[in-house]
Amino acid sequence: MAERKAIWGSTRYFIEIEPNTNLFNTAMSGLVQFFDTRDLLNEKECENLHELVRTVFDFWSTILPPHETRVARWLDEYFQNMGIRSDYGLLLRLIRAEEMIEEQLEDIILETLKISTENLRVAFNVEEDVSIIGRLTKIKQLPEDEFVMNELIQKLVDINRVDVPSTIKGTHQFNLADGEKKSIEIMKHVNIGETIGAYSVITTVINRYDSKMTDIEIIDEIPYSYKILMTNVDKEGAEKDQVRGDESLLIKWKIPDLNPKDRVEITYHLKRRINRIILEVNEQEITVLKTFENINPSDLEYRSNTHYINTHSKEIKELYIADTIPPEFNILKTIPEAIAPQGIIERAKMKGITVRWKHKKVKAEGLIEKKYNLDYFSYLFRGKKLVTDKEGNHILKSLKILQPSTRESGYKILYVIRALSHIEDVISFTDKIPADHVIVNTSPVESQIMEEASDANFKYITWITNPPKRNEDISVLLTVSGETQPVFELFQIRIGDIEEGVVEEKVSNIERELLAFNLDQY
Amino acid sequence: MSKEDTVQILIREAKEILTQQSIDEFVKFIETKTNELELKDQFLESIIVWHFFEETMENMEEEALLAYVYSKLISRYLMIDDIKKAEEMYKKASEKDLSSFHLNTVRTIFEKRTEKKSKKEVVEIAKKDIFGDFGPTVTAPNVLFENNTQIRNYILNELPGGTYTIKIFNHKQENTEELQMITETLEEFEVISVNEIVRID
Repeated sequence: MAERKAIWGSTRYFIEIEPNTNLFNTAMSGLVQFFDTRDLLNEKECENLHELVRTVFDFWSTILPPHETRVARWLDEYFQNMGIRSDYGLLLRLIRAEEMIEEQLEDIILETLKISTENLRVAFNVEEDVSIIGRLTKIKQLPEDEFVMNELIQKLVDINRVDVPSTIKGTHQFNLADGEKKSIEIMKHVNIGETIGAYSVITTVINRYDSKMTDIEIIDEIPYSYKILMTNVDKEGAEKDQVRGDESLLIKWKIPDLNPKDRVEITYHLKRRINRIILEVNEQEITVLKTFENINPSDLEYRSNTHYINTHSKEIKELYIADTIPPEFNILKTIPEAIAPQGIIERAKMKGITVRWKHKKVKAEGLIEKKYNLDYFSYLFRGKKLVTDKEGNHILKSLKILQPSTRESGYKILYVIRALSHIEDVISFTDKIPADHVIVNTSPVESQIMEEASDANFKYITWITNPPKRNEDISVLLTVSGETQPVFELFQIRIGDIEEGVVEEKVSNIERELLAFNLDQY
Repeated sequence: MSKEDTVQILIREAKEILTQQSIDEFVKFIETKTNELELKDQFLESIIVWHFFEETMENMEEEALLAYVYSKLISRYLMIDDIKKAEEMYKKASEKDLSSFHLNTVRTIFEKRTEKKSKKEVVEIAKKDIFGDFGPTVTAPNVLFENNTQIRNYILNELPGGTYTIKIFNHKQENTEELQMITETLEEFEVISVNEIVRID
């Protein structure tokens, strides 16, 4: 918890620092605020520790003589009080010298080469649908200076960090009747799935030509960060094959032919994996291995069991492992327990969790196992729908917020309608929830909610309401009880007898946000 | 060695660095030397060096460094309680339309120390609504504020918790600025969001 702390030697001026992560290193960013006895004087979002330290030092120097050691000691004490393992030496060096560490790193790294990892598959117990990505970084020599060493490791982790893309690449090839061969590259969006932690990618091929398309070949590149749970294809005779690529699993489809105006749809149901970076550090080279670890359901939680084995014939001087947990998950427990300095759970604001492990002198064939018990991070679904008429005039905007309840099993759903023009007719919202979920409370109680079975899996709920006045809101809050995950669906709107028509635009995404509301407080 | 000697030698060295090395080296040299002077309580000497820095940067038209030096000069004059000179520097920086994070901090400190009053009018207060949009739903107060701190206190004490953007017109400087304020507790969520535009004919 950030505290407002007086500058040493002043009773009038105070500083408050809110770091974005609990991991002390030069990449640490955060908010710095300056106060006098009453008010906030100024504040700055600092992108790294150097900027943060210099900002504090410059402010200090406007009030008092510029004592570098005193500022470093003040900062060290400040971080230690927050439970962050800081380092006085590094703080002082950052105050005194600017790009010193970065410059030293540039001299250390010589080159990076790609290496084969096929021989590691058995030892690492890797599944058929995933590869290990290997790199060898040659270095002049390992830095003796501990700060520079830490920075080198951080730099290698950053360079090799796996970006989880929100689009995947697909290549479609086919022949036309006149013998012309076509090849098209398409970027396909990774869509949010029906529940938390589920994603999907849809490949669609439509024959827009007047003649038959033949010998259709589709290659979809699914990055190893995603595990394919299930694939659906709505065309008989479609043949599937898969090959491991450098950084993605290549799913190849062969479809003999497609008549004009016909279409094929392939859906991949995906979930995320833990992205792991392993650094095997020796005197003049560092082997970087990137692996992808599955997360499996276990009772009401999720588990991931990982293992590393030293496949070299000699002892590894130092071994670093950085496990990036998918953002939808929170860590409940690690086995063994992550205790600094060997294990650190880094929680970066708005980014997620990385668990870092450090081992020294790992013997040949030495086995290192880490287990993670996970649960979902606080999440919510937010669907917004803007309704327009055919001239593009805004009629109303509406909102659905679904948030799991923190107090009991189940969740709350809030619907809000804001009229943007004069509406006379009754408005109805139709939404879908799992068939075995039950609405246990409605607020306001007089709200008109109807339930209707859809099929064995789902039921419809419909909220019927008189329209609000122009620029005014009307809302209803439902408390739903259910043992399974809620469904992320956007409601359908009807005004009077008219149902909503064409979807003109649809954008979906998942990201961390700082929000103020909590439906449990409604 | 007299005061003049120390400062003159230092300035001569700085000039040489500027001609023979880079501007970064020059800045680093001035910072190191003024720090050393100030740690020995030689603030007057430090001020002379900063004035030399001011003059050099003015000739080189280096705005960022000029803003930096005025933050130093205002704060140094405040440290030795020479409010008149601090005000002179404050005015110079305003006339040159300079701005930087630290200059703004020092200006605020100076304004609070000297109780300098501006005439700031809150033109519009927009609050973030449940849809995540900012709407001018809050009535702006019909009074003139002396500084942004007063405006911040008004938002904090008089309005319900929320996320606000405040448009302010400064009658003295005849310019508009925007202030952002969050007076509610924010929590981190993994948000799955879908936005749709549909047509109803």
